[in-house]
Amino acid sequence: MVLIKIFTTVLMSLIMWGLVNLSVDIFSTPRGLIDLWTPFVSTDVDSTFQAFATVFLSVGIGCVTRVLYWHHRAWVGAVALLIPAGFFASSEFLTGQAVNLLAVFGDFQSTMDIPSKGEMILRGKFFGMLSVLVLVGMVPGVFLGRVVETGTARKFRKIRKRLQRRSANAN
Amino acid sequence: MQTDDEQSVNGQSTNVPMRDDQIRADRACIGCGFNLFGQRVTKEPHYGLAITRCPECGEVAAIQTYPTMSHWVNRVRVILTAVWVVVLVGVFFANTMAMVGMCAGAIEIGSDELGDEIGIAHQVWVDTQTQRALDLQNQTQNESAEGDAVEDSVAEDGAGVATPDRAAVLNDTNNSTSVTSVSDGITTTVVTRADGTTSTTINGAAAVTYTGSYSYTSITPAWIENEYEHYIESLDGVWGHIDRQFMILFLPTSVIAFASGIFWSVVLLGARRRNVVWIPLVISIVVLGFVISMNSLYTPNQWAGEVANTLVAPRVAPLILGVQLVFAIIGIFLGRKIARFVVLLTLPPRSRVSLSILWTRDGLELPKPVMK
Repeated sequence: MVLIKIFTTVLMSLIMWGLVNLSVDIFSTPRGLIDLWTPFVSTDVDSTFQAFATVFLSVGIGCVTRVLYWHHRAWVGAVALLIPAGFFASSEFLTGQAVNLLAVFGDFQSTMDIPSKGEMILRGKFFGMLSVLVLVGMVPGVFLGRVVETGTARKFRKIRKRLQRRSANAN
Repeated sequence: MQTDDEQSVNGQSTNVPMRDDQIRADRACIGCGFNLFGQRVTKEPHYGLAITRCPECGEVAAIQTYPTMSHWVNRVRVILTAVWVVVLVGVFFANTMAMVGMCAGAIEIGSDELGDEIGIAHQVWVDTQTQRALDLQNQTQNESAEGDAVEDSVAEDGAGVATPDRAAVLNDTNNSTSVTSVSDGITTTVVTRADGTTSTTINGAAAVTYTGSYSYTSITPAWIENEYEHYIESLDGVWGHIDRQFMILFLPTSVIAFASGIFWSVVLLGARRRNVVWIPLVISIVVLGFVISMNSLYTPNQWAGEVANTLVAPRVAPLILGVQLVFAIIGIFLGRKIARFVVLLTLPPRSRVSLSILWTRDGLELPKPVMK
C-alpha cells in the first residue's frame, strides 16, 4: 500500500510536470506572454484538445490526491503532491545548476543546456496555475472520498454482521 | 486452601481454580511426557486462560490448543526466507554493479583527453622509429653503393640480418620493400608498398597508424616497455591531464548511493545502523578492487584510451567511491526516519500498526493518531 501510494504520487507529479511543459507550449505566445483563451476556442483541434485535457487532468489529479491522502488534512495531500511535482518541473534547471557548481569546484566547462531564467519563470507561472486547478480538484475529491469511505464502511459493516452471526452460532 | 497446582506470589494465590475442572482424557505433558489425566485445571490470572500444570516437571500446559499447522507452513516459511536472502544478495550485487558502472563511466570520461595524448605520443614515437629505419636503409644502401663491406649484412637475394644501427633490406615479389632495423633493442620493420604506403611493425607487433581517434590507437608493447615511464614523468602529474567532467557523475552516484543507504537501513532492521555502514564499505572495497583490476596495464595490444584508464582509475575511482560512501552513510542514518515519515504520510493510523517495527526497533512508540 505504501509503495502503491508513493508510485501513484510520483506518477501524478510526473504528469503534472508534463502538463507544465505542455502548458508552456500551448498557452504561451512566441513573445513569452500568456494567452489562456485562444487555445480553448482555436480551430486547431489539437490545441483545443490539449487545452481542455490540461484542465481536466489537473482537476483529476487533485481529486485523486484528496482520496489518496484521505486520512490527512487536505493541505497535507496538496503538499505531498506539489513538492515532488515542483522538483520534477525544475529538475532540468536544478541539475544544470548543480553541474555548474561542480564545474566551478572541478575547474571544467559545463556543456549542459540549462533553461533560461525567463523560461523557468514562465514554467513557474504555469505551475502555479495548475496548482490552483489541483486545489480546485480537491473539492470534488472530498465527495469521491466520502463515497469510498461509505463503501468501505458498508463492506466492514457486512463483515462485522457476518462475524457476529458466526459468533452467535458458535455460542 | 491452596493446592499444588496454584502458584503463589508473595504468599497470594495467582491461579484461580475453575469449576468442574479436571482433565478427563490422556494428555501428555509437553515438558516431560507425563500423563496429565486427572490434573486440576486453573485459570491463570493475567489473561484468564485455562491451564494446567504438570505435577512432575511443573510445565504449564494450555488447555485451549489449535490444530497443528501443516508441515507446508514451515516449508513455505523456509522457502520465503531463502528467497528473501537471495533477493538481498541480488540487491547487493546490483548495487555493486551500479557502482562499478559509475566508476567505469567516470574513468572513461576522465581519461578521454589523456587517451588522446597517449595516442599522439605513441604515434610520434612510431613515426620516429619508422623514420629511423628508413634513414638506416638509406645509409646502408649508400654504404653498399660505395663498395663498403656490407655484404655480410645484405645477402645475395636481397635479404639480410639487421644489426644495431644497420638496416637489412628485403625486396619481395609484390613490389614492396621491407626494411628491418635494430636500434636500442627495438626491431623496427617498415614495409613500403608499390603505391608508397608504409606499415610499421615494432618488435613483431603492428604499429597501427591513426584510425580516426588517437584514443583507439593500438599501443605497441615496445612503447610500454621503453617509453611509458618516461612519458609519465614528462606529464608532470597525471591529475592535470584528467578531464574533470567526470565529476558530473557525482550527481547520479550520490542519488543512487543515498537511495541504497535508505534501502539497507530499512531492510536490515535487525542490525544497528553503524553496522549497516559495513554494506557500502564492502561495496566500495569490492568495486575498487574490481575497477583497478579491470584497468590493469601490460595486456597486449591495449588502446591508448585503455592505457590512460590505468593511470586515471587509481585517482578517479576512490573519489567516486568516497562520494558513494558518504551519501550511503547519510542514507543509512536518515533512512529509517524517512521510512517512518513515508509510512505516516501514506498509511492511515490503523494500517500503520503492521509496520510499527520501524518505530519499536529504535525504541520509539508508534505515534498516536491525530483526530482531524
